[in-house]
Amino acid sequence: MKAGKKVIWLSPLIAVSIMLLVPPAVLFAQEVKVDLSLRMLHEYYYKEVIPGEDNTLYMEIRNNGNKEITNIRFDSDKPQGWVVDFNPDSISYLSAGSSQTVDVNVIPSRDTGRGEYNLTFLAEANETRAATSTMLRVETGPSFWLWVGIGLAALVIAGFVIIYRRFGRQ
Amino acid sequence: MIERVHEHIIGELGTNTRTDTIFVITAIILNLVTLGINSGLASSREDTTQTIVMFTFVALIIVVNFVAEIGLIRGRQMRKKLLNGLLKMYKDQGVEGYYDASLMGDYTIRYNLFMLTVLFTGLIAIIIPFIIR
Repeated sequence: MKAGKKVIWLSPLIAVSIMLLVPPAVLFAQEVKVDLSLRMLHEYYYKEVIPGEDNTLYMEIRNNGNKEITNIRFDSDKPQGWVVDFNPDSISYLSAGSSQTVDVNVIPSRDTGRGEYNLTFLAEANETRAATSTMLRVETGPSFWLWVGIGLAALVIAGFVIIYRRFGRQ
Repeated sequence: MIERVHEHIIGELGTNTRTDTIFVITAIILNLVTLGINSGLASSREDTTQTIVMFTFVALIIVVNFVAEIGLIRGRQMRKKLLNGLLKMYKDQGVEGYYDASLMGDYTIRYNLFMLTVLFTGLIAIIIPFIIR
């Protein structure tokens, strides 16, 4: 009976002692998580773009962490001669759990040939950075190569006629 | 002796046919293979190395097609000469009635058709990849 009384009397004392010795920040602190994600919306992957014209793509930036992210700047790794503009071009503050859509205007250079082109978009903040990429395709290239083909074909026909007339007579 | 000459002419005609067949088949196969390769190269991303490879194949097509055309023209002329000799021999032997001289004209038409086939497959092998590019 005496021992039971002693335990009841000591328990609050031990609890108070722990609270005084260990700082409350350590006891109740939540782990700070900084997580920024950047992704293209699905329909803007492998999208056809037209050289020399505005082609708007949309991407989403999301703060998946529990801490606000500040001063997010956008940049891109693009083929030579291409112009990429972001709207907004920077985000000063993105609170935890929130997201924002960013318009990406891509202008491929006029002399871009037919093919597939990879673009990488970067979001760099004070706390972290994120990247995403997309593949864009150009279907209509300049007609330069068509003329090269026609020229070569004309050359072959002319050569054939010359050969036929020259060797055919002998 | 005349039989030996006859056999020689027949043998030459056989060799001539084989040579011409090789020219035609080689040129057509090469044209079709090159068409496939160049179309594949043309449909991929524009690249200097690929363009050089493409033009190298185009040069190969042009050379092989011209060689095939010249070979076919020569083959036609050779066949004409051999058949003229054969006809003369038949006349001398009094059996020319068994060989229709109009066959020579048919051979000319056939050779021209072969040459056109080679030329057009060559043209397609050159142009199509440039249209795709």
